[in-house]
Amino acid sequence: MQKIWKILLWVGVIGMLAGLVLYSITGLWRWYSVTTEIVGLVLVIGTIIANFRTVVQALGRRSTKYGISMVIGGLFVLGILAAVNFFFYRNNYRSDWTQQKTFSLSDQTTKILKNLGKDVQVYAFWNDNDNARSQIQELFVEYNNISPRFQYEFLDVDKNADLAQQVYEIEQYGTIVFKTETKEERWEPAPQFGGARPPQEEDITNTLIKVLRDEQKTVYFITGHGEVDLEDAQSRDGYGVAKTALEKQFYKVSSLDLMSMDAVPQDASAVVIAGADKPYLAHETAALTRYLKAGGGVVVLLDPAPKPDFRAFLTPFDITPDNDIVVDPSLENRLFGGNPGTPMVRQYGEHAITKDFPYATIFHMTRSLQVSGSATALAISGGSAWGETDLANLQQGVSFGENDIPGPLNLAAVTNVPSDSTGGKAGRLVVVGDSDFATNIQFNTQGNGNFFTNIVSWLAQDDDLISVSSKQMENRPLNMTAGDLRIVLYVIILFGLLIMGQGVRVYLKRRR
Amino acid sequence: MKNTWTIFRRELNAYFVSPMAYVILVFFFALAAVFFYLFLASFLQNQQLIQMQAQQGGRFQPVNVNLMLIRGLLLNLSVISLFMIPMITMRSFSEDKHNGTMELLLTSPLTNWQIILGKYFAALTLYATMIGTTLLFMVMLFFYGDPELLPILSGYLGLLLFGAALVGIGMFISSLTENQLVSALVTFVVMLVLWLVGALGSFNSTNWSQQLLQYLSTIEHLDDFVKGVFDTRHVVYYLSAAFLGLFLTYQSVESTRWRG
Repeated sequence: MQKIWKILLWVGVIGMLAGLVLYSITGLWRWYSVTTEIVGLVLVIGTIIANFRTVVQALGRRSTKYGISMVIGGLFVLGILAAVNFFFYRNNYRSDWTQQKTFSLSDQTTKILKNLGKDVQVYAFWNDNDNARSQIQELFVEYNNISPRFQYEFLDVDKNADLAQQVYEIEQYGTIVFKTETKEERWEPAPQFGGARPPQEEDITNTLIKVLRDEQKTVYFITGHGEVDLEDAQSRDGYGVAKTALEKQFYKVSSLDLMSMDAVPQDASAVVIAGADKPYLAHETAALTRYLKAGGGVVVLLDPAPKPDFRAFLTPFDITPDNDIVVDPSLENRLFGGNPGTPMVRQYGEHAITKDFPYATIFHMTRSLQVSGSATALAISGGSAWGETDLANLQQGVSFGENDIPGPLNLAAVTNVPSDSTGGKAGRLVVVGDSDFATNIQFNTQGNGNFFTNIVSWLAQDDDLISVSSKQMENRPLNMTAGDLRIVLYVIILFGLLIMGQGVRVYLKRRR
Repeated sequence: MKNTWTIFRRELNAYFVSPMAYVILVFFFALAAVFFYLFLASFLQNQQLIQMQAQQGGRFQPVNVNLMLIRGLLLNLSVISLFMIPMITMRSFSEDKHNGTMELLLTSPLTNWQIILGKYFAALTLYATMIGTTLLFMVMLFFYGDPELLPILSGYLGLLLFGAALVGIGMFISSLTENQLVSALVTFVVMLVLWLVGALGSFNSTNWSQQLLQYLSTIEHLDDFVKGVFDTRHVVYYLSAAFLGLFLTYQSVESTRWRG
């Protein structure tokens, strides 16, 4: 082949490659990329046609035949390897070898992801240089590993300012938008010093549940009998923090004046009675009973006398509040942060609400409950606690007397209420001897908040929203002093010298 | 098998009777030791700070030697390996070509695969020895603390597979040239590209093209191992890369037979 043709052939090949590169840059076949591609192609084909005889002769050569068979063989092996990799990419076995399963998602998250019925696209507006980003990415990778329908993309707010502000109206760094075909939900970090707090698995899973959910459920808090203040997020005794926690789980939280109504509203997914000062009227308890028998969910958060005990309403459902106040003077209770009037619970009944519940809960001034029949205990005090029945003389100090109720005591109980229509859904009833555990001051103490939201989620038949426990890093320190650090240094140097000495020995031996 | 073993022993001897293997081992160990010492000192400083905060009534924060020291260290060992592997593989075929012993090998009753596998496992053994020197650090960590064993094992398994893949690729490049320096440089560049390919796009999305780039990147597959997560995907990737390297080496050696 003449030199000029060789040059033209190379120009043609380079032109074709350049056309492809131009296309890959813009992502579109623009006039210049198409022209470059065509010119390159014409030059290559032209060269082959003009030197047809030489090309045919070259093809007939033994080395060309070997060369071609080598290329074909190579491509064949590459194809097989690509197929094998693709197969194992889709059908992989993954196992977390860490003791605490640090890099595994909870069973609950796994269950949700495996049943993911629609595609979820997640846009995380975290800046590239944010340290927390890699933590979130690790979590997202695990989500995507379980379900390829969970897709994610990180977008730097500063680099994608238009998209962030105009399309998604992002106001805060660290916002994560979850999108399905029909719905959009977002998680926003609580502001904290030194950058946004990265979301935990619990945050991601709960936002995922919200975006997958089609309807917003309503939780009613009954008012009018001196119950807790739902809107108060500032004072110790308000329930504003609890309300916010429920709203974060995509519940609509409203107050309900049942006194002026005949029945619980149709849209109620759960009804909360928290810390009532006065007993309910007969038509109110009748409405609640009808609601329960129609498959509704009610939680009654009591307090010791003089607050009402709701016995007339609760006893037919096999839960009877005692007229006492639980006292636990044990050292164990005090060691773990309780005090005699604030028993701590670390033992729970077998139930969906407390399944794998890893936290302790604290109940400040609580009644105990008797359970029978279909009702079961949910939270159980320590064995050294008792129910003090001499409420009139509490100021003079307490001690276990013959009229007192010996521990362990039930501080919360749960039951299913059979439907009054055949085949109807059973109602769900939870009773807790204390209402203070979910107040603003107590909500974030130990597992109180999780216990409360778990109860409401179960009542609203949202068993999947039961809180995911965040993993705590296992403590594995090193017991080293500054002297030990020096010993380590000397050992390293000695070992390095040993290798070097062996090398020098070999070198000298060879020279001889 | 016997022939492969003979080649393996010949190659391994060639590594260890020359100072080359020791230079590689000392270089690697010195760099790894610097990283280890810095990581250890910083871990202890952090631990002390956290303990002081806890004593002053702050919230107790756990420290974890696996997550806060070993994981970072093992990832760094792979970075150092990136510089060392070209030095290991550069001589495997280039030297034979340069000295003219390649013809002798090819005309001997040995098959191409026997030659290639013998050389490959010898290079891999040197790599494993190199990585093995860092077990000293782990022994010391076990002496002064209670790290989790399984994540460490998976980390080393990952490093071994990582090396298996890169040694295979390095061998192929060595089979293309008789100049050892060219072989080492090209191997280094190819490894660097394979390392960085994941970051070519934005490596932060599940978009398929970016996922593909991420999948091709050697480092992306190592991260799970050093975390303590075993995934067959990564094993398949590394073994495929190693096999591809060896297959291309075979093609390259085979071509010298008919190209003359």
